[in-house]
Amino acid sequence: MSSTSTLASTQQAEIEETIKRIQTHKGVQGFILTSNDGSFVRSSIDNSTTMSLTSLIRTLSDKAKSCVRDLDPQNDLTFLRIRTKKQEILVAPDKDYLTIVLQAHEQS
Amino acid sequence: MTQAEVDDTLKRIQEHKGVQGYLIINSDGIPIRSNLDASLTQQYAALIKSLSDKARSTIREMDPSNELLFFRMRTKKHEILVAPDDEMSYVVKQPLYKRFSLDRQCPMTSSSYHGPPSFNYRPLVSSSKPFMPESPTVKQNFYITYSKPSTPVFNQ
Repeated sequence: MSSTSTLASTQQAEIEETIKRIQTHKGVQGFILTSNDGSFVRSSIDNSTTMSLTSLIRTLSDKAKSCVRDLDPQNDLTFLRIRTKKQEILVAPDKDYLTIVLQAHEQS
Repeated sequence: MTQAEVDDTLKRIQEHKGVQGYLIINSDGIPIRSNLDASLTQQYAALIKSLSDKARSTIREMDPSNELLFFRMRTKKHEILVAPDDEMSYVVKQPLYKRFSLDRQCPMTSSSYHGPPSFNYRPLVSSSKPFMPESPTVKQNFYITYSKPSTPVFNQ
């Protein structure tokens, strides 16, 4: 019992560390980390925006994933990066988590 | 976009080292230029067009004043870059180039692939910048090459 709780706390610590690292990165405007079943959500944006953003981007990321799989069944999407006029959206779908980062992009 | 502009852009893409394939799709989803074989071209055209349309509408839903400029999908085997435009889309397929020397100092092969980036992942070589799968300072010219190390790195 204590070992599993230690494992969970180690994971927690890593998650916190990663979140901190991403949030302090230059240009990051917003950050959402959510588990795939929605049980765990960390976000630097207000709740309603987080929810709507997560559902929209999750749908898009699932579509991109299925697109990649259709082209090659052995392939899999590891990262998705969307550049818009105002910002850049980085999406990292994972086995257990979905990470979304909004950042300002430098105009080339 | 005139034919000449399309040709110029295509030439620029073709000359770029590392590009494995490219595809130009017009607004109806019909591929007009490609260096892939016919069936693959059709597949890419259909799938990427619908994905690109979905991405566009998602961005509009998020913020009506915003606009999709570009997106790229990184997969296990390669990277797909899509530049949708009003009139056409450019799709480029290229191998994965890494910026930071994590475990993937050698080109990705299925045996050296350890799984999607996850938070439990420990970088082998710590870089001075915080870990981001792709750096935000990468501009539109995305192809950052790295030199192969003398010994490939497998396990960490």
